[in-house]
Amino acid sequence: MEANIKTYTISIKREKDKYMDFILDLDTSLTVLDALDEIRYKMDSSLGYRHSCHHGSCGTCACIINNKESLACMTFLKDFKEGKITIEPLNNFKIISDLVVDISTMINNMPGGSYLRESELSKDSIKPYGIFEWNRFENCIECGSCISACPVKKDFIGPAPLTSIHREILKQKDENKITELKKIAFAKDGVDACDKHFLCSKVCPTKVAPGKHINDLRKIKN
Amino acid sequence: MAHNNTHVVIIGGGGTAIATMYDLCLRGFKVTLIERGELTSGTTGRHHGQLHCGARYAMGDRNIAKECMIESSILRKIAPNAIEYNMGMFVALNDDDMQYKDKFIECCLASSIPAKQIPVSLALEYENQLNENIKAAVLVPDGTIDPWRLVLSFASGAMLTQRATIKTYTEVIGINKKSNYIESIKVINHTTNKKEIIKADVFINATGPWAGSVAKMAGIKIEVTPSPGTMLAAKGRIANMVVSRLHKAGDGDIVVPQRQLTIIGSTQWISDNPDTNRVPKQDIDFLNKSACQMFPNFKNLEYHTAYSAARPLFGSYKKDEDIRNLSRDFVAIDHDKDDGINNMISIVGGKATTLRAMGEVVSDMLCKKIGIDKQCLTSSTPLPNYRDFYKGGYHGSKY
Repeated sequence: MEANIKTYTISIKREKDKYMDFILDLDTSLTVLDALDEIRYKMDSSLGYRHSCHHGSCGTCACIINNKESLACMTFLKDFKEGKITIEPLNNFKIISDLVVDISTMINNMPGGSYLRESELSKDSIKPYGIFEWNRFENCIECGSCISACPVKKDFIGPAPLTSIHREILKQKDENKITELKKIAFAKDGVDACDKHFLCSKVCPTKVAPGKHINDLRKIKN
Repeated sequence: MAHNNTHVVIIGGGGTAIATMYDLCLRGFKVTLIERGELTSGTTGRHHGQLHCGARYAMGDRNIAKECMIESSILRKIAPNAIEYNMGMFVALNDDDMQYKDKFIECCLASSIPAKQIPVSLALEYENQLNENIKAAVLVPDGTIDPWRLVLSFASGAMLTQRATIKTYTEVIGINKKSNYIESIKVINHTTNKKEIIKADVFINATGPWAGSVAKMAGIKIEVTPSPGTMLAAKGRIANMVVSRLHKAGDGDIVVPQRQLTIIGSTQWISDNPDTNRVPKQDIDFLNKSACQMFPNFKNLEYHTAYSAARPLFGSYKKDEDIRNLSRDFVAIDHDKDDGINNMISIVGGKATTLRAMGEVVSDMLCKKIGIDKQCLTSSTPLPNYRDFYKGGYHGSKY
């Protein structure tokens, strides 16, 4: 198969409002994350960005690509008509450097509990001895895209933590724990702070639809 | 020297490095971990995602098989949140596979892996997307790992001891060697552009396929072969179990379901640079076809992505040798004996499933070396939730 090479200008927001352009030839089959790797290994070793799984599962590489919250590893160069791509760190998080943000504020608003849920596949099949239900990881990969896209400016724990609280309420069997979770969800900076912009659902890379989870929480408020 | 004043620097931020950090912290050491990028941004994060019970290795290397069985059981107990445990199945598709079956089961059992042949009808009940024409199925205790969250659980455990410091985006640029020991390392913090000298009593090189280049800074030669492989991910979950082909370990013979994805892997080639290894385009077609042999509907799943990571294989590769002959085992090297450096250990090779064991082996080696009798606690201590890692703020800075 032939390589399809194109020249790209990757413009990266580095210090406050300062953008740095990197011009490089890249195979169009590559991803934005591959482009960041190329820049870091061949042009500027100081470039900071987060990455781990390279297949949209860990959630570390979320950033703003051409004005939209996206996972760099799941954004393909071939999908850009123009050769210029602008990459900025997520909004509403503290910036550590370049594209690296501190997501601890988001995670610390999430409850403990299990990251597993029942798998939908072959749900009713018989299962091997020792397996009570087929399970899989939750859909939310905690990338922070929804929090970045959310336009709410008042105190708000944000879409991902509320989604996580809702999922935990659905799984939780202990009534006392459910009451505790509801207390967090219905505090002033919880569900009530959401202005229903639904940008969270629009940008979510794993289609969690946080806006729907917030709506579902509203329904169980009383 | 009281061991709780012993300062250990670990170079590397993947599964092995972080499991070693956790182990040493539980034993009371002070540890500083230096990683040039984000945690698990090298090989660990990009691995296939299989929690190996060892069945895949039972025919080739019984020791690795046994170790995988022990370690996968431990991980299931100490980090259940980071593992989809739905077991695994080896399926025979043709007569050659059938020839392999009895010996395979025998080798699994000899490695303490409870492999059990099940009726084809039951296999199809468990996995209704499986090729209806399979000739036999063997059940084994495999699973799926979320590598990022598994390793973060280990990091949480280390941070909670308050004896660990993690420095990410910090790259080693020099090693200050005295006659027979390392006095310090010189690092650059890419986020601040500041250079720093870090002294320690012991230095551990746990940089996977980069172990050779780190060792070189200390004037030491380590034979490590970066051996990348491709994984192809499709949207949609086609199975709950890990499904492997019942034949000699080869390319494209393991289907790992994960979250709402199905990942088939892998291939294997040799590279001289672990940094940027692009997925060969022919691998995608090959993996697609291989997956369809086990799951005919795989071809109807939407392409998600393909990725590759460099396995760190210990030893050097001889031209024309079968790459699969390079061992997947790990080796801990005390650089005192052969290289004349009395305070440096390197750990190379291994696999994600054995990360905890690798941490234990390095920590045991370190304790023995400096004459401290402290037992490993990691196999019996449940790991905290990976989210606890963030309780201390950015990389535990507030712990």
